[in-house]
Amino acid sequence: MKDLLVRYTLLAAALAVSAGSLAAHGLEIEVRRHAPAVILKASYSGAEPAAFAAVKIYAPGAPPAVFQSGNADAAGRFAFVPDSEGEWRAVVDDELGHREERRIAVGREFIEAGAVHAGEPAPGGLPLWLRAAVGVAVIFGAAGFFYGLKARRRAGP
Amino acid sequence: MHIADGILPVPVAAAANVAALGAASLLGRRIGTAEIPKTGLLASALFLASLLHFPFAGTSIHLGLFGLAGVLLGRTAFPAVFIALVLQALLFQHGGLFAIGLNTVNMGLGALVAALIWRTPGLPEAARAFAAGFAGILVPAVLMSFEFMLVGYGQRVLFLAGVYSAVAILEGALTVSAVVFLRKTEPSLLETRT
Repeated sequence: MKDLLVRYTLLAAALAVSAGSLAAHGLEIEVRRHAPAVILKASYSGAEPAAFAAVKIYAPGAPPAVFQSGNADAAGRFAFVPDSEGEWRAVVDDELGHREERRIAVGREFIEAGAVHAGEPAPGGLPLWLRAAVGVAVIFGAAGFFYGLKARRRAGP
Repeated sequence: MHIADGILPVPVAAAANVAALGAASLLGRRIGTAEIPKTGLLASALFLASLLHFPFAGTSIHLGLFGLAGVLLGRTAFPAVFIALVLQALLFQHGGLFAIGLNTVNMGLGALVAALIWRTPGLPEAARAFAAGFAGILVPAVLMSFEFMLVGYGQRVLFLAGVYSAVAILEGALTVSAVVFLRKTEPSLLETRT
């Protein structure tokens, strides 16, 4: 009887350790926000990164539409740029049986903070309209130059 | 439509640069004095056309106007395309600097085919204009898809063909409108000697 009790105790301990070990492999998704991007970091209980895990991002609204899909990098990171406010959903699946879902609330301020407006110059560059004007001016200038050159040649000395 | 640097092998891009520069300078010499303002105007239109873009089928499409350039300039559309592409690459970062030759060959051939179609006798003017505008986009799109297939780049060649077919229809209609307008207002612009 005493042996049986010892055996059950050992079995229960082994199961508890196994359960603990399984729990330690559960997927976790950490969310960081750097407007305009939301950066996810998928890891096994915050320790081992879920390298190259499949990630799907669902935009807010019904029916849910896949906004972006791909794989995390070697460090378990994945970034996306939400384009509307609401509750976004990230699903990480390592295709080995571990899956985790995280809902991410995105507010209007976040979208507006990261908005890039049409025609905004690249860092250190000229505005788009100015670059277009420069291009047209170069063409007209070159056309005028060659027109004058050819006309002068035709007229002779 | 604009190929970026690093997609096609360096020898291919280099050969295309030599071919494009040679063809542009050769055909550029054929531009008569009277044709220079029209060529400059068309080169400006080609340069600006890529800024007019619209969302379509999950991607962004823009006008090329290569067909219209072929109709109005004939063979000298090729140097106009070259100038427009050089400035687009330098000022808008549309296409790679080292890929200018490839892009010029693709799009310039579109303009040359359009010029040939425009001069085909026996067809109504509107039909020739539509076909020229259509070919002006479809020829570069087919060439680009073919080049991508050769180097095994991308898996969306059929999607590309579908998207550019829609742009080609739009350009065909635009070319017809331009030809009809010019026939009424300034028919001399439709007469090309090159």
